[in-house]
Formats: sequence, structure tokens, C-alpha cells
Amino acid sequence: MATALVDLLSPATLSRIENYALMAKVAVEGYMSGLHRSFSHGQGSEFLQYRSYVPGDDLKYVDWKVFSRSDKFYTKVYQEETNMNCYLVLDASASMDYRGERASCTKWHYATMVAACLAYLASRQGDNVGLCLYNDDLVEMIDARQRQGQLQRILTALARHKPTGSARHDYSWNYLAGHLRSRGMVVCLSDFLEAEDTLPPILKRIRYARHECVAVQVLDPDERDLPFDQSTEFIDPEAGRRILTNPSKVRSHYVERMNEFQETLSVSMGRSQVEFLPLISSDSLARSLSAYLHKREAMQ
Amino acid sequence: MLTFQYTWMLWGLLGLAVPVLLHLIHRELFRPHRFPSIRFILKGKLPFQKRKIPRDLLLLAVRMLLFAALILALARPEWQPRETALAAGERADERIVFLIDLSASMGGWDSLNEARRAVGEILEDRPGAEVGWVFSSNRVVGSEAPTRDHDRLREALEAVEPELVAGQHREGMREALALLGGEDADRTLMVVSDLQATAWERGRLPEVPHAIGLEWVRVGRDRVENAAVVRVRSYPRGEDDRHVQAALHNFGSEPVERTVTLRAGNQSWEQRVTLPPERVTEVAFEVSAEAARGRLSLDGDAFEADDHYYFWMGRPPALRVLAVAPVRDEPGTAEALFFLERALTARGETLWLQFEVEAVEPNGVGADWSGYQAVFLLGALRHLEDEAWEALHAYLESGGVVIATPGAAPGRLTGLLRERGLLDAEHLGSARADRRGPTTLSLDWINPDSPLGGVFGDEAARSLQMISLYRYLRLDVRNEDAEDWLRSSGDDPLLVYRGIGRGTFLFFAFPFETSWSELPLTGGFLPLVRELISGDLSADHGIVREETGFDVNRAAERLGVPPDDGFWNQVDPGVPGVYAEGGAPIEINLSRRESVLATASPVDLARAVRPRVEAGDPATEVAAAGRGDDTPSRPLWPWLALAAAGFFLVEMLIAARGDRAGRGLTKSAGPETSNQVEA
Repeated sequence: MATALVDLLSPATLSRIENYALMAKVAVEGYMSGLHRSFSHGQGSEFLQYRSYVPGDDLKYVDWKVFSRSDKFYTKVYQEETNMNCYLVLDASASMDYRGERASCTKWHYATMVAACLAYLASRQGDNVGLCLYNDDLVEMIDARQRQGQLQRILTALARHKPTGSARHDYSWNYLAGHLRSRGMVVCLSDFLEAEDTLPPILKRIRYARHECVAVQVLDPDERDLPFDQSTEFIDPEAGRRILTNPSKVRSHYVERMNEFQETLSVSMGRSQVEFLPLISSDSLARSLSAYLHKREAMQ
Repeated sequence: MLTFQYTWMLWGLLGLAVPVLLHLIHRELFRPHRFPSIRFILKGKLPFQKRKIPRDLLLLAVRMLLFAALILALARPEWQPRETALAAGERADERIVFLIDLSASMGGWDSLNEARRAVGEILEDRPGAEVGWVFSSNRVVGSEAPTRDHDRLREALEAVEPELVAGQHREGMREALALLGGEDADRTLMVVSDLQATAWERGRLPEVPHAIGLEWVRVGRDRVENAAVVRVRSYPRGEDDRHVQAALHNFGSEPVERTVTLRAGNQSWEQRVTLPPERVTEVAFEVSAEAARGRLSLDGDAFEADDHYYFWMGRPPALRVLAVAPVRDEPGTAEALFFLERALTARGETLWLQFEVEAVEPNGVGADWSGYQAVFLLGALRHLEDEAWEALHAYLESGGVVIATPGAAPGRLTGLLRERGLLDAEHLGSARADRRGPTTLSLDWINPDSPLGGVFGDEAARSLQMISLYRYLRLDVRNEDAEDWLRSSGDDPLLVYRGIGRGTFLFFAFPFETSWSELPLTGGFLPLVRELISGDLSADHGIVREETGFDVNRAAERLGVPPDDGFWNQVDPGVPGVYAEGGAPIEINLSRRESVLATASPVDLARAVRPRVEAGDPATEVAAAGRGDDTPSRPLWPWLALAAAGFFLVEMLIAARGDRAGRGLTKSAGPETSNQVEA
């Protein structure tokens, strides 16, 4: 059943995050007035520095006063406040459709709420927000725009889709990377299972393309500690494999392997200069998101 | 071929489903669960999934084998080797001899008719066989050598009836084996019987060679209930009054209600009783009947022969007493004899036992005293001749009772007693009472441990103690095994007991004469004398009881009636009843061994009559190797019990290993080694 729109943006959550701004950590380019800095030479821009004149520069940016004093040509460089392209890329594979007893919602629902909150922030501060949903194919692609109804379109798309199939990260991301127009912010929301080797390099390439990348991992608390006691036949929701086991006898080893995975993923993301945000679907979304945004603001 | 002694136990094999059900119940039920992070379970350590299911199946198989082995062992399987040719050449004609049980129990539960039908079916199945027969009760009732004329057997079987005797088939089997003849035919002994345990498990049956087939045709299988009259005793309570005590036995496993009828002459009395299962119940009648013969009956059940019991209701026969008194030489002894005869021949309501007194002079004493209940020597010791002394000693050795009193010249009596080995006592003179003076003598003490102590209680003892004694011999008894049964007021022994051989010697210190005491004139004299000579006799003493089919010679000896006496002409040992004319009464009733419901096992009987197979003896081994289904079967239950024990050990080992593996974790062979079972 598709998520209801009202479930994506709860007043409680919004009340916790609405005072934060989703500030890009990299300079982005844009021509409209926004919160983000861009290297541009437009008027109204803030003077940044001089550089040596290069034939071909616009003469109106030559500092003639410096020339009169030094007989040397220097060009002024300005920063301009502009808007940001924010892409929300969600893993819509079947592994996201899991909810343990301790979680109030599935991982997918949790991820969509995170995406909805980020989309709301970006849209509110005048940024362009786009959406990409994928599993083994691109399920939904909404270009980053800042126009009337954009947020609603994104929220509708988030609410409409249900995670199915398996994730083909490389296919979808390669396609997406070719459609990223200008620098911006790319937020990847996934559980990153089976992707710790695939996604960090992809995100790294996107990061090298001057996009800020944030990897938001959503896991269910069951995936953290395998709380089951009864003998269980575990079924892989994507590949269909089945495992008969007694969880109480394999729990310690599972936790050890899960922690290794998390560590590997975190290190990979770090090396790829991708900000890594692990979330648990049983945690308070408002608290988790506000804490994250607060930290971002403090690091600006 | 494989046979089972308790075929019904095989139904227990249905219980093999039990381990399967338990296995299914206790097996682990896996809850399906979709889980995204299954890859980490892949790499995790798991219990022996791969090994678990095969281990469980092995455990299930072992448990089922254990259960099956136990059930089969309890069913007592036996392996009977297939029949093998006994000799070269073709098998000769078949020869069958039927041993047909005609004991009394075959008359119940329609067993004989069932036997007739069974024999008829066998004859139809083997039209070419030579057929002979032996009818057996406790003897061979009749027999015929095998012929091809089967109608002879059919006719004989139709005409015969069971005898009212307890079964004993040793002679019958011998006769049957003899009729089977030599090895020129395929021989089979077929026993047709209800296989009552008391008939077949008593005594030793003859061996049946392995070369002869043996088949057991059991009839009367529905004998589950039976009640019988097992014992009746009649006790006189006066001239014509009787107390009749009967024991009734319910052999079945359910309580039954029956009507008990006592018949005596033209009179009858009834009672309705409930007989609890597998117990003997006592029933009593208080009747007044002149008839001397009675019959106690139960209303009929499936076996009527044991529902009737014939018994003597008259007085027991009189007991003979010899009184030796030298009346000619000592006329005073005539008085003692008179009082003795009067005491012993008195009749009264409580005087059940009757005595016949034979009075003789000492020189008229015979050499054989064995027929006497007691011998009184009334002052006769000095007058006995050697032959009489020999008879006296023989009588005492055989258990007789001799009671002696002093006669004339008592001073020489003690020497005689000593000389004859009867009593070692010294005569200390005589104690005399002064009839007109203060010196009195009396009985003062009765030995409470003696038979007199049981009769003369406190009140009766006082009556004895009031009897005056005028004179008695004072004795100093030196035999350590002698006992004083009566003492005087002067603490002198008045009656001395000594056991000689198996008999009893009693010596009074005074004769039964009024010049010595007033005892013969008192009411205490009769019970005193009677008790001394009949203390351990029962009220039905003298009645001979025999089972039907008894040995007449033995009964004649017990009765004291010679076998050639005309009395035995009226006695049919095979017919229950009471016979009493001309002699002591004899009760003849069917042995209650025929009433027992338990039956013998054909397998056990076959094993009992077959000779042991001698290892290395080709003759017995070949013969035992196969002769139909009666050759020595090999019991298989010990092997099955051993197998069950082995399966039990294996089951414990497998279960224990599984538990240990489940508790611990083992390392997989490599980092990516998967030891899971995948669908």
C-alpha cells in the first residue's frame, strides 16, 4: 500500500527541522538567488579575490585602480548566492520493504520520510529538488526544478511507489550521473546491502564531479542484532534464497559480520568523501534528522 | 516358518506410528521470515543444518526399529525350519493318530462337540490318510489302530462321552505313539483337547520323536467363567441337627450370583450367594436331617460336573478302643472297666465322636493293635505277655495312645515300667487320705500346656479339683522328657505323659476305682478320658474322601475294608457319590483340578515333549530340521531382545551427539563456506 502523503511529512517532524537550512557544503552554481554560494562574476556578488588577467576575461572586471598604481592588469573574482540542485535518490528494491517488530514503519517508509523532509527543506529555501527512484531499473525520475507543485510531485512519487525487485545500483547511478546538470547535492537513501563495494566508487565519481554526496543508510533494528529466538527459515526478499537456522545460535556471528559491514561501508564512504549517515528505522526521525542538520550547520 | 506364540501382540506394531508422530511433534518447526540481511547469516556459523536432517532421520529409524524389536520379542516369535525329506525317495502315505481328551472338563463349554467338528474337518482335509485314535481321560478309554476307514473314528467319537475324572494323558500319549508305528509313513500325532493346565502340566509326558509330527487342536476356547463346589463338611450338632460348611470357588474373573442347594433325603435347603471373582467363599447351612447322605449343588453353568458335591451327613464311624483288664486275676479292675466303658460309649448332643470298647483279658490281647484309637491297660501291665509287649511297643512307635493305671502290687509296677522302657519312676509309697480326718487329697493342678488344659478351663478345673482322692501312688519320675499333666494337692504327679516313638504313653497314679478316688463317679471323668484319647481328632474323623477314578486298593487300605469285600461291588470309582454300607463312609467327588480355567501353551507343551537336539548327531539334527510345524522351533525373542538393547544404545549415542552439537558451534571450513540447507 502506498504511503499516505500525510505520513511523509508529519507535523512533529517538521516542527523539529523547519528551523534548519539544508546548506550545500560545496559551492554550487546557479543563476537564481538562493542560499548557496557560487563562483560567479555577477553583480551583487561579494568580492572574493584578484587574479592575473587572462586575455579573454571580461574587461569590466579588471581592477583599473590597481592598474593605475601598478601598471599590471588584475581581474576581480566574486561569489554570488544562488540556488542548489538537490537530487534525492532512493533505493526502491525489495530489501527496503522490511519492518521489524521494534520499528514503527518499513525502511522504505522511513527513507521516504527522510527524503520528504529534505525535499521540503530544499524547496522551502528555493532550491531545485529532484527525485530518482530505482531498483533493477529507473522507477521514477523527476528533474530538479524549483517551480510550483514540484514538492507535491516529489511527495506523490514517494508515496506512490512500493519497493520491489532487486537493486542495480551501477546501472541506475550511471544513468543519473549523466543527467546531473550542475553542481548540487545528491542524497542517496538506501540500506546499502550488497552495495558496499558498488556505491562508494559511484558516489566518489559524482563527488569528483563537484556534487556533494550524502549517503543515508536506513536499517531496521532487527538487522542490527537479529533478535529472533525461534528456529527460522530466512528468505531473501530480492534473491529468494532461504536459510534454515536457529538465530540464537548464530546471533553473535551475525552481529559481528554486520558490524564489519558497517565499518567497511563507513570507511569506503569516507574515502570517497561521501558523508555517511546511518539511521535506524526505530529511531525518532525528527531527532535523527535535526541532529544531523544541526551538525551540518555547525560545520559550515 | 515364522510363528508367534502371542499373535495378538503384533497389533502393537501399529504403535510404530508413535515414534513418527513424536518425531514430527518434536522436530523443529521453522518460521518463515523475509529478511533483507540474509547475507550475514550466510556467512554466520550455523548448527549442523546439513547434518541435522539426516541425523534426525537416522534417530527416527533407530527408534522405530527399537520399538518393533520390542513388540516382536514380546510376541514370542519362533522359527520352525521347513520340512525336509527324512529319507531318500518319495514320502509315504500319511498316518494320523488322534489323541482325544475325554477328561471331565471336555464335558463343559461344548468342548467335545467342538472336538468332533474339528476332527471332522481334519478328516475331510486328508481323505487319503490312515487315521487311528486314542480316547484318554486318566487312562486309555479306548483306541484303534490307523485305518483308511474314517467313519470308524467318526462313529466312535459320536458315541463317546467325557468321563468324570481328572485328566492324565501320559498313558494315552504312549498308546498313541505306539499306534503310529514305524517310519514307513508320514506320521502325525494330533492332540485334541482343551489343554487344561492341571491335566497337561502335571507329571511327565512321554517324548515325541522329531520324526513324528505333532499338532495341537485346542477346543473350548471360550471358557472364561466357572464356579464349583470344592469342599463340603458336615458336623453333627445333636441327634439329627447338622452344621454343613461348604466352600465355593469362582474361577472366573467376574463376580457371579448362584443358588446353592443342599439336599439330604427328601429335604432341600437353598441359599442365594454372590461369589467374588477368583476367590473361595464359605457358605453354611444349619439343618435338621435324618439322612446320612447329602449333596450340595450350584445352579448350572457351562461346566456342570463340578457343580455337585456328595458328602456324608451322618455321624462319623465309631472309634475302636482296646481295654485290657485282668478281671479274672484282679476283680477290682472290673469296676474300672465298667466306668471306662460307660464314659466312652456315652451319647450326647456334644459327643460327636463315638467309641467302641473291646474289653479283653491280658492273655487275649492280639498282636496287631493298629486298628485301635487307644489302648487302656487297666491294672494289666503286670499281666502282659511278651507278644503283647511287642504289640504295645509297635503300637506306640506307630503313633498309638496307651493309658495305663496301676493294679495290685503297685510297688513292683515301677520296676516293670522302667524295665519295659515306658517310664523311669521310683515308687515312694502311697498317699492316703483320712476319710474321717483332716487329711484330704485332691486334684490340685492341671498342666495348662497339656490337652487337658485346653478342655478344663477355670470352671472345669475347679470341678476337677473338688474331686476327692483317697489314695494314689507317690512317684518320683526321673525321665526328663516326661511331663506331669495332673498333680495332687501334695504336688505329686497323678498323670504322667511321655512320648514314645510317635505315640503317647500316659500313666495314672491311681486306678479308675472308687476305692481310690471318686473320679469315675463325677462328671469330669468322661471328658477327661475322651480328651486323652481323641484330642486331635476332627468331627469328621473316619470319613474317607476320594476323587473319581481313584485306586480301589488304596482306598480299601484306608477304609480297612478288603478290596475283595462285597462293599466294593457297589462302589463305582468313576461316579461321584457317597457309599457307607458295611464300612466307613467314603465320599467320591470329581477332582476340582478339572474346574481350573487356565490352559497350557501348545508351544510349551511341544517343547516339553520333544527330545533335545543333540549337536553333531545327524539323526536328531535332520529330524529336528523339519517335520511340519512341530519340529523343534527356535525361539527368536532372545535375539530380538538383544537387538532392541543394541538399538537402544545406538539411539542414546545419536541423541547425545546431536545435543552436544546443538549446544556448541563448529568452525566452517572457510570464510565463505556455506553449511546451510537451501531451498
